[in-house]
Amino acid sequence: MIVYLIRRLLQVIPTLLVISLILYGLLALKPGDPIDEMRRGNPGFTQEDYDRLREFYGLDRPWYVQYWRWLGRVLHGDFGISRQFGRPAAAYIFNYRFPNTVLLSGLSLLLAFLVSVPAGTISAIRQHTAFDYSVTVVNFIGVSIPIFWFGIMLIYVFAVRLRGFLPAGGLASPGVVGAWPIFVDRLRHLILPVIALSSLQLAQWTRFMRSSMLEVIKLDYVVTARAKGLSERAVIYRHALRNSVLPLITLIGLNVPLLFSGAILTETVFNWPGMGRAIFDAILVNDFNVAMVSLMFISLLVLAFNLMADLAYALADPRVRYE
Amino acid sequence: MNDPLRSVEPLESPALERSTAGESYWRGVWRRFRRHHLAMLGGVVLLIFVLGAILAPWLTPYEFSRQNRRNMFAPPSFSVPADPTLVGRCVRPQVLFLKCGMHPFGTDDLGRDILARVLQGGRVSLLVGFIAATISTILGTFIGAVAGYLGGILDSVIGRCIEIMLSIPQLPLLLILVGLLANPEVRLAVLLSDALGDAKSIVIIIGVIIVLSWMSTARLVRGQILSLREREFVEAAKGIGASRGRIIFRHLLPNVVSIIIVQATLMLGEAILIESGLSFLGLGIQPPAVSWGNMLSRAQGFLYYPNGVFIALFPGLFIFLTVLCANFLGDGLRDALDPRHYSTL
Amino acid sequence: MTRRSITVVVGICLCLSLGALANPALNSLVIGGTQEPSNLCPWEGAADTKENVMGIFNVGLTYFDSDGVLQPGLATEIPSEENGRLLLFRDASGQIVRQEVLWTIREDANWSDGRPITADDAVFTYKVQNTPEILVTTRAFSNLVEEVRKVDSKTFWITYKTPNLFYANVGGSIGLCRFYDIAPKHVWEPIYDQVMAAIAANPENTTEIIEGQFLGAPPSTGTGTVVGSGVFRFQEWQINQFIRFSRRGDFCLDPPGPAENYMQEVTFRFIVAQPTLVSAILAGEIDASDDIGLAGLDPVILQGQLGNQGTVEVTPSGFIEKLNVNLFPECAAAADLLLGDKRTRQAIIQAIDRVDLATTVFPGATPSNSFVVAGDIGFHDALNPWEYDPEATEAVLADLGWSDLDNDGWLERVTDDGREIEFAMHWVATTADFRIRTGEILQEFLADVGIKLEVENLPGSVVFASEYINHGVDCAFRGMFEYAEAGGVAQAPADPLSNELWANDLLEDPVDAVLENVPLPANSYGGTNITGWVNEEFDQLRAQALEEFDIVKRSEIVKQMQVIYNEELPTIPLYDRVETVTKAIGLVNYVKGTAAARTQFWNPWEWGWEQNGAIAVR
Repeated sequence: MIVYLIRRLLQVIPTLLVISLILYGLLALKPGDPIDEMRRGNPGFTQEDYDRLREFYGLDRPWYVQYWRWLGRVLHGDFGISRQFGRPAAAYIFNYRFPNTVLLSGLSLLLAFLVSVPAGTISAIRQHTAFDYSVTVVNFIGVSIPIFWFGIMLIYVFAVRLRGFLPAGGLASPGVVGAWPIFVDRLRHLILPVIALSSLQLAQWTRFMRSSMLEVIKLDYVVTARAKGLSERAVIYRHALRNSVLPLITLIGLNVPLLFSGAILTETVFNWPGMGRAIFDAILVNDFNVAMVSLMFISLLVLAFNLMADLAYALADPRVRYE
Repeated sequence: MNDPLRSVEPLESPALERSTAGESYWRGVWRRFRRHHLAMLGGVVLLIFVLGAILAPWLTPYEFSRQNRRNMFAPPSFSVPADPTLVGRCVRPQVLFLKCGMHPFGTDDLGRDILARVLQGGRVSLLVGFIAATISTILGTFIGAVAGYLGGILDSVIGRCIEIMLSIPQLPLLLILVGLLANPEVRLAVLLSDALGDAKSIVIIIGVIIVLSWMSTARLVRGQILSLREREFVEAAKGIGASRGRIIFRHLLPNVVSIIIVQATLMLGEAILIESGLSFLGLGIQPPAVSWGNMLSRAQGFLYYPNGVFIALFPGLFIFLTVLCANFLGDGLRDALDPRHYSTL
Repeated sequence: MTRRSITVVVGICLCLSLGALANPALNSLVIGGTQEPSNLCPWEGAADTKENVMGIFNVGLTYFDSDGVLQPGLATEIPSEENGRLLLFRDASGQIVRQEVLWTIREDANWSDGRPITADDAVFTYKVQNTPEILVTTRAFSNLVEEVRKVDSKTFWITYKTPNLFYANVGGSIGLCRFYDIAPKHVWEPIYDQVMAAIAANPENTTEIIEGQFLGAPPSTGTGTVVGSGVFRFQEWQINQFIRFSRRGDFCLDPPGPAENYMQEVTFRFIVAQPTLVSAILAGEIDASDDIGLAGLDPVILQGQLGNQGTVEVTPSGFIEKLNVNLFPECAAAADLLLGDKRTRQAIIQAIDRVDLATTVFPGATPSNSFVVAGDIGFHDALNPWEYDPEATEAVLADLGWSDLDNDGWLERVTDDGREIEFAMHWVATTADFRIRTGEILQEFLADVGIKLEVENLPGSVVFASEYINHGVDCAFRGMFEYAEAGGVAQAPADPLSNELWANDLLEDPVDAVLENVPLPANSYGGTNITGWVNEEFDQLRAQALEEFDIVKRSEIVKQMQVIYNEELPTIPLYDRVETVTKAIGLVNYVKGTAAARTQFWNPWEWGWEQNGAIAVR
C-alpha cells in the first residue's frame, strides 16, 4: 500500500505536465488574440501597429515555443501577466476570483451538508412515510432542475417581480459603509446564488445519506444495539449516524474540485466574479496566462482529491485489488 | 457534470421477497418495475415527449421559425387576437383545438410561437440526449469491460487515460473543444462543415458529450467487472473450462447489463443538461436552429420585458421535466434490474 | 411557530430589505457599465473599455461638446490659421510639406495632486509614445510628428512632417498619448527611466518588463497614486467591482454655478452581464448607465420598467451597422453569387426592410445609406434611400439570370461553364444578442425573395482575428460579414477611423498600383478594406480630402464620396446605432448629444443633481 501511495504521488507530476501540454495546445489552436480587439475604435490603428504588437507579445512564434517559454517561467513560479487585466495572472486569480468562488461554493456546500444530513437521516429512519416520500420527490426535483434555469427563475421572482427585494447578481453594492451594513449587503447578494448552486448537491447528498443510513440501520451491530435495549436515539446517534456520514464525506471530497470550475453557470447567471467565469472569459479571449493558471490549479485539486478517494476506497473494500 | 455518485453509491438493500418459483428474470423485472408508479409515470411522460418531438412540425399551426414582428411578446392565451393584423402567417389554419392566432405558450422576442419552438427544440435536445447517452454508454461499457477483465498494462493505460480526462476540468475542456470545432480556422472544423452543413453543431455537441462522459460508465463497469471477476461463479465457470469470451459474454456482462441500462437512462438526463448548459453559454446549438438550451440563453436578456419571462419559463420547464422523468425511470429500472434477483447463472 | 421565532424572521427580513432601501449620499453619482478597463495607462488600450473611465478623471487639450462643436479643454484656444497657431508650409506645387501647431496650456490647468500641467509634460508624453520599446496601441498619428518643442512652461510647438488634418482633434489624433493627450511627467518619468534601464540590462525580457513594470506600474493598475488632469480625483479601484473618484477644488473648467452644488463623488460600477446591470438600475442601485452597457435594449420598454425612477435617453453612437460583402473575384463562393456586380448588392438592399429591422433589433436606430453618420458635418442628406421593394429585387435578380429552376423556393442560375448554382449566401456576425436576432430577421426577408441565407454567429475573438477578417480573398467569410464601424466623428472622414473603403493610397510618392488597404497575399493580408472594393474615383477623392484642411471644403468632397458609395454599395448599410442611457430623476448635464462627443463623460465637471442646486445647461 505504501508503495502504491508513493507511486501515485510520483505520477501526479507527469500527469500535470501532460495536462498542461494538452490544454496549452488546445488553447493555442484557437485563433484570435486581444490585439484584434484593439483595432476597433482606435483611430488609425495600422497594420504596422498590429505587427508590432504581435511581435511584442511573442504571438508570431509557434505554439510549442510559446509553451516552452511558459513552462520555463512557471517552473520559476511566474505565471505571467493577464492580458485582460494587466496584472500578474496568478495574483489576480487567487486574490480576486478564488476567494469569491470559495465563498459561493463553500457556503453552498455547507448549506447542502447541513440540510442533507438530517433530511437523509430522518428520511431513512421514517422510511415509507409521507416525510420520506416528499423528501424523495424534492430530491428528484433538485437533481433534475437545470441550475441556470433555476437561477433565472429565482432572479425573476425575487429581483424583478419583487422589485429588488434581493439583488439580481453581483458581489456587493458600492458605497455601503459600516461593518454591519456591509455584512448584510454581502449576505443579500449571496442568498440566491447559494440556493441555486446548492440545489443539485443538496438533492444528491440527501439521497446518498438516505441510502447510506438505510444500509447501516440493517447491519448487524445496529440490530444488536437495539436488541441490547439501547434507546432509539442512542442507536442512531452513536452508531448509525457516524458510520453513514463517512461515505458522504468521501463523496463531498470528490465534489470539492468540481466546485471551482463547475459553478460557471451560476456565476454567469448571477454575474458572480468567480473562477469558473474567469476561465470561460479567459478562454474566449485567449488570455493564456489566466486560463492556464486556473486550469492547472483545478487539475491539481482534482488529482489530489481523486487520490484521497481512491485510497479511502481501497482501504474500505478489500475485495478490490490494486496491482 | 460528472456525477461521482454513480461510482460510490452503495447498492440498495436486498429485497426481502424472493422471486416466484420458475419466473424468468425479465418477468420479474417487469413485475417489480410496475410497482414503481413514479417510474412508470416518468416512462410514459418521456414517451409522450418523444412522440411530440417526432410529430413536432404537424402539431401546431405554425412553422417554428416564422416571425411575426407585429405580435412580439404575446402572453400565453387560448384566444385569437381581435385585430387580424396581429395574426402571423400560419402553415395550416387549425390543428385540433389550436387555431391560427392562438399562442398557448405566448410568442417570443420576434413573434414566433413558443409552443412550436419548444416542440422543435425538443427534437434537437432529445435527439442529442438519446444518441449521446446511448453511444457514450456503449463506448464506456466496452472500454470498461475490456480494462476490467483483461487487466494488466491495458488496464493501467486505460485507467491513466480516464484519470487524466477526469482531472482536466470538464467544463473548460468542453468549452475549448467546442470553441475549437466550431471556429472556421481549424481544418477539422472546415471538413466537418462541408460534410454536415447545418447539422454540424448538433454532431459536435453529441461528439463532445460522448468524449467527456464515457469515463463514468467505464469506471463503473470496470469496477463491477473487477469485483465480479473474483467471485465464485466465475471461478466455477473457469473450473469447467469456459473460454474467456464465453465468460465475458455469458456470465459477466449480464450482471453488468442492469447497470448499463440504468446508466444510459440517467445519462440521458445528464446529456440534456450538458447540451442545454452549453447552448446557454452560447457554445452549443447555434441559432437559427432551436434547442431548449439556446432558447433559455436568448431569454435572459428579456426578463424585464412584459411577458418576457415566458421565453425562459417553458423551455426550462421542459428540460426539467425530461430530466426528472429520466431520473424517475432510471431509479425504477435500477430497483427492478437489481442483479441480486438474477436467479440463473 | 412561536412568537419569538416569528419576530426573528421578520427582523431578518427587515434587515435584508434595508439594503434595498439605502439611498446614495447626495451629490454622489453611481454609474453602471459593462466594460472595465484593463489598466489606466494613457498610452495603451482598447477604446471602448477605457475611454469612458479615463474621461472621468482626465480631460484633453480639446473636446467636442454635446452640439458637436470643438472646444478648448486644457488649451487656451483651438489652433487655427486665423489665430496664427496653425502654420502650413507649402512647396512649389502647393503640396503641404510641413505643419506646425502652437499650443498654450491654460495657466490654471494643473494635475489632481496640485502640480501644474506644463509643456514638459507634453514633451515627455511624446517621448514615451515614440519610444520603440514602450507598448503603445497605435503610432498612426505620432508617426506624423517630427518633434515636440517647448517654448516656455505652458507653451509648445508640435511639428508634423506630413500634414495631419486632425491636429486639434480628440482620441489621440494630436499625436501625443492616446487617452486625453497629456500624461503627468512627474509620475511617469521615474517609472519610464526604471523600465528603460531594465530593458537595457535584459533586452530579451522586454515583453515581461513592459507588462509587469510599465503596464503593471501602480499609476496604471490603480494600486498607487493615480494622477489625472480632470475634475475628479482617483480614489480607489476594486477590480471587477467599481472605481471611485471625488471632486477636487482646483479644476480649471468651471461648472455653471458654485462647485459645491455639483457632483462631489463618482463611482463607476462594473457589471459584466447586461441583465444584471438592468436589474441593478431598476433596483435603484445605479443612478445612471454609461453609453455602452445597455446596447440593444428597447428604450420604450425600459422606460416602462423604470417608471418614475428615471428617464431613458437615446443618443447617437457614431457607429453604423453594416453588411460587408465579399467582393473578391478569387473567392469562388462569393463570385458565383455575382456579389461583385453592384446590381446584386442593390437587389439585396431592397429586399430588406431596414426600418422594420432597426426598430425590432435596435429600437431608436434609423436606417443608414452612407458611411457617415447622420448629423455629422460631412453627412450627405440626399442619398438614394433604397426603399424596401422586394419586387424590384426579384426583377433585378431575374435580369442577372436567377430563377427558381427546380421549384424548391430558392433561386438558381447556370454559370458560364455550365454549373448550376443555388443562391445560398453565407452571413457571419458575432454572438451579440441583437446580431443573432438580426440574422434571423434577415434570413426571413431574403427567403421571401428566394435567397437562402446561411447564418453563422461566432465569437468576436474568432471573427475579428486577422486570420478571419482579412482573408476574404481566401473565402474565410464567403458572403456577408456584419459588424459596426465608426462613421466619422465630426472630422469629415476620410479619416482613418472610419474608412475601410479605399484601396490604393494615392498620396504616396511615387504612386504605385499596389492596393495597400486591401488584404491580399501580395501585401501580407494587411489593410482594412476587407470587402476588396476598388474604385479609382473614390480613391482620388479620398486623397483630395486628406489634403484639404478646410473642414467645410473637406466635407463637400466627402459628400461626393458618399454618392459613389450609395450607388455602388460595397457594404450594405443597415442602421446608425444608438445608445440607450438611463438617468435618475434630477441628474443634469449628463448628456452626450452627438456622436462627436464620443462618450457620455465628456463633461464631468458639469454633472449635478438638480435637487442640490445644479443648473441644467445641456
